[in-house]
Amino acid sequence: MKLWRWLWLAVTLGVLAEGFRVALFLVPADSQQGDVQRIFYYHIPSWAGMGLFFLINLICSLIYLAVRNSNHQLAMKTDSLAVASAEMGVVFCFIGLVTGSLWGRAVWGIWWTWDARLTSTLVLWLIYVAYLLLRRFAAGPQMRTLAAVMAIFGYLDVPLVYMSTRWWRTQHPAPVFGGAPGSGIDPSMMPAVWWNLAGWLMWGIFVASLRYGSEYRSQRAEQDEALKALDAAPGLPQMAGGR
Amino acid sequence: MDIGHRHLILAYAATIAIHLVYLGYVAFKARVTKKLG
Repeated sequence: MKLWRWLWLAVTLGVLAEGFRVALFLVPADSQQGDVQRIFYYHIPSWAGMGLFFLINLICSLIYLAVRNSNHQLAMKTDSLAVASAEMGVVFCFIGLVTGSLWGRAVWGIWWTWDARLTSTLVLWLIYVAYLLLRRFAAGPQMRTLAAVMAIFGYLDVPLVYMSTRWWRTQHPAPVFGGAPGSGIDPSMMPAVWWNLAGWLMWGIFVASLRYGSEYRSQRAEQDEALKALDAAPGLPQMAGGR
Repeated sequence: MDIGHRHLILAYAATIAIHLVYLGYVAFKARVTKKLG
């Protein structure tokens, strides 16, 4: 692993440790829910991470579709980043669902309910799991194009998830940030939000960068194999160049 | 320990565990593809 990665990891772990300390021991407990509200400080960064990585996936998918026939190197890079960001987004989304369910059981008395926010989020998770399954099991040269198109359609659910608590008032609470006037949390709780937001996003970037590296290497090796096979095929004109 | 504290600990543990499982998968993939060059 390169030096900058080790440095990034060390800073990330430091920020996460501080985030843990601030969230659990420093900021005051919620006046109504008590200590269980501290789940919020891990719950929110999961959604922020999911939003960031699905957005990266969308941008990479759009670029891939635009350059796939004209710039193979850029196409391979964006496709590799699309895979890494989709996986990271799925992980963050899953954590959001799990922590939300644990929180819901403690404050609502139920693990799950089919309300607008929870259902649209579960559907979003399933869409991106399907995207990853398509990439894993579909064969043929069109797989990456199909996956990119699917990612663009899948992203349509993200704004729906975001707006669900604004459009429909069901079980899930109204938005804490960017909601109605007077929404938000006490300023004394904000340090826990910032530390954990920064720490988990840095963690996500670290892990996604590792995953990007391995995916890119794998795709490059696949391309080299294909070029070698073409060169070795009798009766075919020799391929010019490689990578 | 009441349900609030129990679920708070569970939520934090689940977050860390899921991230570590995925990190394990990523490390495995990196090791496999490193052999590809």
